[in-house]
Amino acid sequence: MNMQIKKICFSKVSQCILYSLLITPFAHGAYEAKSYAVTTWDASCSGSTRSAWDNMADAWYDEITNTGFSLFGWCLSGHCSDAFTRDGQYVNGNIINSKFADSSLVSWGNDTRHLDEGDAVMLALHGFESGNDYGGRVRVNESGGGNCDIMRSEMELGDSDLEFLHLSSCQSMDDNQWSTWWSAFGRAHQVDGFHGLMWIGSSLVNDYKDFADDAFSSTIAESWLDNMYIPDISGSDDQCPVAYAVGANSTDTWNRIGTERYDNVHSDPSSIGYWGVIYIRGCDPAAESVIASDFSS
Amino acid sequence: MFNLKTLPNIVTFTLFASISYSAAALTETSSVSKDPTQGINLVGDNKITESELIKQLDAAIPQWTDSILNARSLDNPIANLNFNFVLASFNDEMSNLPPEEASQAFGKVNAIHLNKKTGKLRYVNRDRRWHFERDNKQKPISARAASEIVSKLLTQLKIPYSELNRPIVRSQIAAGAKVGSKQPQDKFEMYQIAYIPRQINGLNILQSDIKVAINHQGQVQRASIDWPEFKLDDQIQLIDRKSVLQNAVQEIMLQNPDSDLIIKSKLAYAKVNDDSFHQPVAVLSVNSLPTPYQLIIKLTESTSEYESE
Repeated sequence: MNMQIKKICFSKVSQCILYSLLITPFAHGAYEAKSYAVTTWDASCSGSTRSAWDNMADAWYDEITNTGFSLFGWCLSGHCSDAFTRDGQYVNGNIINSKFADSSLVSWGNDTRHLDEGDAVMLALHGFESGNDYGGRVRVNESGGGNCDIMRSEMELGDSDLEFLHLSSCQSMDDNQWSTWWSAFGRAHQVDGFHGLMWIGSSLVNDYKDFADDAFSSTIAESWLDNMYIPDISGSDDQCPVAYAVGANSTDTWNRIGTERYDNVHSDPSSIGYWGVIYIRGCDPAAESVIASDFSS
Repeated sequence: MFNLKTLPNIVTFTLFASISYSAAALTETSSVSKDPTQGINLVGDNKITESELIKQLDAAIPQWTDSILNARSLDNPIANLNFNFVLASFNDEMSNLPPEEASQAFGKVNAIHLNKKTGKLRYVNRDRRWHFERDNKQKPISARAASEIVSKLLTQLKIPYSELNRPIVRSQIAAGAKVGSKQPQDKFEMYQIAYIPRQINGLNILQSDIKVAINHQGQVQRASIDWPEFKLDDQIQLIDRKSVLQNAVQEIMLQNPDSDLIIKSKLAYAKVNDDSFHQPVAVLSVNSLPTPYQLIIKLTESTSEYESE
């Protein structure tokens, strides 16, 4: 190959590399997203099939990790270097409760390499309430410990890594649970869930995509409210999202829930002295009374 | 054709009229069982028969006529916007705007997402957020004042009044307490939020609505507008009611139905399977334990020789 040809080839390769660097954004890799969703409880745990649930969780996962397209420093679409990295997208399979429980609370807990490994995690499964304790129904009853349910009281969130947990699950943030949810926070920042029943459906998939998308410019908490609040979703009931955060005191808590975005993550809370929620007044879901009207059940 | 000059008054009236509706909604109680987890049984009993489901569905799904295919939209307002126009509408500014090809623009304290193809507009100004130390003793503006601000905004954005369905205005609340307290000790009103669904031909458009949050200073803190171009597929024809009911039954039977399920339904227009066209559908709200769900059942079939999947 003569020198002239070599120069041309090198020039083209250089241009290709340079062009690729200019237009192809990379996620910075500092934050990781994970998603767990169950649609069919046909293993050793029981639950009604909900076919569209994985599509809802996947929409969130694909959007929060969407690097999009940038050119000469302009992030023209997607989240470019702010996008989270893809750390695991699990649908059905071996979804067991030990992956969400902490070993400091139950001997069989093993969340360090699972739920607590992600920075932002979506958990989509049937939810229920037992006393003032949230519970989620997993798919497989593993041998040697645990059972088919993961309870809030078995969680310690963020003592390893987790900052943001999003619960696509009924009764995951009922108002009578607010006074105790803080005890599940290790060093986590925020848990988002629902007061009363939430809804599944192919028509709701875009709400999960938009939640992830908007949480890079609005706060995570307000994006949750904006995209998940659906008045009169059933002809008689609302869907009632709740965002929950903790802080050392009220000022710290309101500052966190009022400013944290996927591209603006605070340091971990230094201590937990206060909890706070945001919600839409008057929201009236199925299976619960009007939000913030009865804190006993 | 409506008169744009009168639009602010019309929209304000509509928004204001909704306030009483909103307040009334606060006292409503759910008609559904408040204890759905007896025994923590989370699987339906699968005892309901197809014929029983057909009866329930027939009672729940409204009747329709050929007129459901006569839906047209007046305009495609989001496609006509640009970043400068949006900023002016929100009484805001941003230096160093990106090229026109961009679908998003970020300032130091504000951001815009403008996707003309999908009809999605998002706006937020973080300087206008509720600030605890500054605002915790302040009262929100009235729902009426919020309505006036929203109506002016929608006029500026040229959102067709005739496509606005009945709005509601609700407050976004912050509540909290020191750990150990059994219930919130502090409670603050953060924003007034207007929610406005979209309608055409008397039916709602799924995934198309407006949400606007107004702060205590009467500024738009954030707005979420999903207003895709409305195009009804002209390669479709209505199918008979019996087929619609049968299709709905098949979908429900896949979800382990419980015998005490409750079905409610309304007609709407929706994009199905990410199609670029809208089409009339029956929206089924199936309240069946443990987690309720929505199903979208098409009322039409394709008349084209090669139906796209």
